[in-house]
Amino acid sequence: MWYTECGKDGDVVLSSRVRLARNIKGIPFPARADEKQQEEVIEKCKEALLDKKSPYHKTMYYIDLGAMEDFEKQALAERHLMSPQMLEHDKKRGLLLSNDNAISIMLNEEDHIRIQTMAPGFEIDRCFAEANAVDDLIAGSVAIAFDEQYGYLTCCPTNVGTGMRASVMLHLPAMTMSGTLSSISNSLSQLGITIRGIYGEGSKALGNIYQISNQLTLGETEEDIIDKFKQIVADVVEKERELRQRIYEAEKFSFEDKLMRSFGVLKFAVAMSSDEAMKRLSDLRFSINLGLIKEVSLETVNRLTYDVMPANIIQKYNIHDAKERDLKRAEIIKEALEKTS
Amino acid sequence: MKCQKCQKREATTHIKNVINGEVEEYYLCSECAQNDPRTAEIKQSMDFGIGGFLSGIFGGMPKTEQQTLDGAERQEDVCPTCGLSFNTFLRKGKLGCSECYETFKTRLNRPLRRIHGTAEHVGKVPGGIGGQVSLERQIGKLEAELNAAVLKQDFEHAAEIRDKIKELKASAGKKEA
Repeated sequence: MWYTECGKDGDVVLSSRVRLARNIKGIPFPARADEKQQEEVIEKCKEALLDKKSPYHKTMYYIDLGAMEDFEKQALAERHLMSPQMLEHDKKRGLLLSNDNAISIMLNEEDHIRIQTMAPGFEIDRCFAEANAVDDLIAGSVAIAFDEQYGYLTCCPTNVGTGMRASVMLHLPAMTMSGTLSSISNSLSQLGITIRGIYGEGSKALGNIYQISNQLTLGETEEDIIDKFKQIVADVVEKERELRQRIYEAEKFSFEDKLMRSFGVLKFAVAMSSDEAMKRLSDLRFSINLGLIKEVSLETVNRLTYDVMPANIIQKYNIHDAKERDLKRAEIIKEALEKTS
Repeated sequence: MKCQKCQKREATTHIKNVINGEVEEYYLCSECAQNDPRTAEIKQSMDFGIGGFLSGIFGGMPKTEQQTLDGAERQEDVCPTCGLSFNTFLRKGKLGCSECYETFKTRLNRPLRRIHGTAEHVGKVPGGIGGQVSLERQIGKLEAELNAAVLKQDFEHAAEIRDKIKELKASAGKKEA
């Protein structure tokens, strides 16, 4: 799966994503659509993508969120296959998901259709090409709300125009530790780029993982937005790499000590909260980047990052008690690290 | 002064509730204040999300419109298609349907410029209605370039652009026919 693989520039860029917001002409946006209209949105999209003529009809399937338990939905959100907003019960919502989880289309989120394409590492172009293809396919059978002046019409005026948000998930431990993140975030915002926590708007940065995305959607072509975005991300990646080396070299021993202690805790702890796990896994990731630990792969850390999330543990092991989950979490990590060493 | 809840840390937050004339006051440290249900209530009643800021940007009316309407009730206060009022949009920051953009056009244009720096989409066009629209767009873009070239007295380049426009217009004519 894209969220466990290690792709291009995988030492800093965990994954890339492109999102396109689209609405169907003649139906009010989900918040003001009645149940019948919400169902119509779902049916139309299912038809467009799952019909025998669709190139995706064998590789995609539909998930009815209304028929799912809360923790099952939460597990999907933890893996970034849908936004936390999709957890709310107030609407008929669904997800069109590809077998490899690299395409996820949210139906009746804030907009009728939100096409998301994901890839491991720094692969914005690939994501955009895929999102574009899905978009064309939908537009081939569904009339899309579009205005010649404003472009694609969206529920929130901050998305109108291209409706496109390109984003990357970055692991930025050095920027966080050195306290440079807030000044970087200021400079980025002047360039129309925002930096947010791991689960997007309003979320905190668990395990030094951040989401960087373009803010503006009007007045530039998709290609221009992506080119600019890619350049800025590449700069951030370079700066993070340089900072990592500098921080490490400034105080080698105390730094190594701190990181290796985390490795020890991960290997031997009996119980661990998800917050602590994310923090320690970030240290482990950092140690691998610096070459201090060679026996664990970044793929293992990527996989663990999601396997230790609360709802994913509930789903896999049926453990609903938080304390018991902490025990299981420590066990999962221990096992994964033993296997590799 | 010590925090009234934990009795340990210094109090930094002062909460004053006036309900039916009865005054309640609390002094809390920042940690306790953050976990206090009363502050949660305050936070909830204020919107720190994008919606909370949009109303500031979209709330102002273009001066010309203020003058011409001068107190008279504006017709486009409610979207006829989805029933969303402009005030609700100001509070929530979200529009109700695609027609809202047309309904509230005069009041969306300027703020959109303020957010995005422009109010003109130049990107992708949906396949179905794409051909015609993008052609017109291309011609418009070239005409702007032509004007710029003429201004710079770069007549060679201007001639090239003029030929391109002719070509595009010819193919647009064919499509219509």
